Amino acid sequence: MSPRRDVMKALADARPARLDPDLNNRRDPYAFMAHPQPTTALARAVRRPTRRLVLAGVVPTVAVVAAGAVFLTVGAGGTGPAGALGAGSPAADPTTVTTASAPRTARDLLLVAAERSAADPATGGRYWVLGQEHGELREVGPANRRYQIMERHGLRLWDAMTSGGRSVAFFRDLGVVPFTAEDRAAWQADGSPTQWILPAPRDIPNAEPIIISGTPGPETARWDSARPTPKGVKGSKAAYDLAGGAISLADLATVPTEPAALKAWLLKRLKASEVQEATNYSLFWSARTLIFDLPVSPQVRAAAYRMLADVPGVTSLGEVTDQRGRAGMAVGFARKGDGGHWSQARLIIDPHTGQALASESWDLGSGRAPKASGTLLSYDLVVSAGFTNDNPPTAQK
Amino acid sequence: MTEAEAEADASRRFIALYDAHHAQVYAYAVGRAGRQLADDVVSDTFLVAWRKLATVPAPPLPWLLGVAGNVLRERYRDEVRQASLVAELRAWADEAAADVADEVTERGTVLTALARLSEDDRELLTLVAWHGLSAREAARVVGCSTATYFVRLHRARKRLQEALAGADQVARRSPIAFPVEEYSK
Repeated sequence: MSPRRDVMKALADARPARLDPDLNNRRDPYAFMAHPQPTTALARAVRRPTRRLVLAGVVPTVAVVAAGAVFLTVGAGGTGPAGALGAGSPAADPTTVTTASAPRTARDLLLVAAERSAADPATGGRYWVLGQEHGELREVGPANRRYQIMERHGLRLWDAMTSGGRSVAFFRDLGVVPFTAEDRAAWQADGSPTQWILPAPRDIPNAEPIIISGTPGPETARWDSARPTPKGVKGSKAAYDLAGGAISLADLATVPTEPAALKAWLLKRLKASEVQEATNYSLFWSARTLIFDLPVSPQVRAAAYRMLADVPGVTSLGEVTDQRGRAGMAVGFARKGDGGHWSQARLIIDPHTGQALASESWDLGSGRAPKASGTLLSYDLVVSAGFTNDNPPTAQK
Repeated sequence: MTEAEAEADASRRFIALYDAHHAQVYAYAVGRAGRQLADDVVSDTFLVAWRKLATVPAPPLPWLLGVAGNVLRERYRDEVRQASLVAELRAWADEAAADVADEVTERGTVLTALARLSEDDRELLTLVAWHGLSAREAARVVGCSTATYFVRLHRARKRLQEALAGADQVARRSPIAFPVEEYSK
């Protein structure tokens, strides 16, 4: 090259195209806004209280697992891998159902779930395997006939429980389905599209439209970086998020197994946190995280249920089915704040096994009091959860 | 302002921030840690931005890149990031080598030379050349005074020039030798 040419100009001209993000890779900013903001900064988070997985540094709209090597150590009294979810799952297995003594209050349900969880003989393994499905409702279509579609994503996590193991997370778009029969009719009237483009937010310079793709895609695997280790967290590659901060696998093993001690321990973490407050709602979420997401012992899970049984604000929602049609019983926690709307976090539990089946987010309107029934905003399903000594699989096409 | 209005205002501000800068944060993350990790870095950075929205200064870009730099330092094991970065630098060279046009060959030479510099030098140079920051803004990202930044930039430029002079001696399509320390750091 010519020595006279300015080196900074040459460098500017050499800018690789790879620095630019792929257009279809752009994340919806609402995914971030679903996270709670500290109240000292500004008012509470927008829209939904759902907060998972983004914290782990992965795509937020994630979740599940198709069929495959899926093991359940929780449920059905099995001592080890109990088979793929579906026919043999505790939730779907009619032989474990006894309708005679269904718990009537939230407290009863949680105490029963605690007892069943504590009876789980799971002792750990080389990998913690978690399969989840995440779904989120969106309104699309022409102005004169809007309809709701459910955008679904799958996640399979294989978290190494040993220092030598490699963790991997598989992500997949599971496609979009019209939510109700009415929505399906409106979708067909709209020409059965498989892609939707939501207009860019108004009043914002350079805003880009949001593209929703309706077709399922292949699995993408992310090794190691799925749950990057934050600074100061030692002892494990996998770092998790609990009660307002990161926690290592080693520290997760020290979580108290007695409900009062667990509550004190969680409150201490929440008070020290910059991003969460020590409220009953935070306790509800912390318990949900322990029960729903983390590789903890059956004793810790049981303690989380017992602690939750005495948290004010937790209500019973009775018998429900999750978005896969699995029967369970739900508890909820409603709070006002999301744009003046009441939002409710629900936890659906299989009372026969203590296994958490699903976590849902509902809008209960903007009235003075929450409505008795509302509209579903998003859900997370546990498709499988448990420890295994197998090696991680490869991504599915 | 009511709570609902405050929330709506926060949403608007965040979406504006995200739309205006997510591509720039992504570019910075690619340059520091490769495409493989860039999405995660961008996610973590904007999550911090959302949580600290009230305290994001204007202009926000230097602050955002500073956060991205912290995310990189704190969340990734160095060898993971280095491996991803080495793959990225290779990809740049491959991209440039794929075309035979003169201009592109020059690009290849520049990128090869850049790959041979230290990481600090690369950052000093690209903040200005690729990410469109002023020297004052770039100084804030790397955490030094503007004066110090100019001195460091001057040295980095010199080293890039030297590397370019060296690169000219090398045959045009010779394989790119990456510094050993990229692997062993």
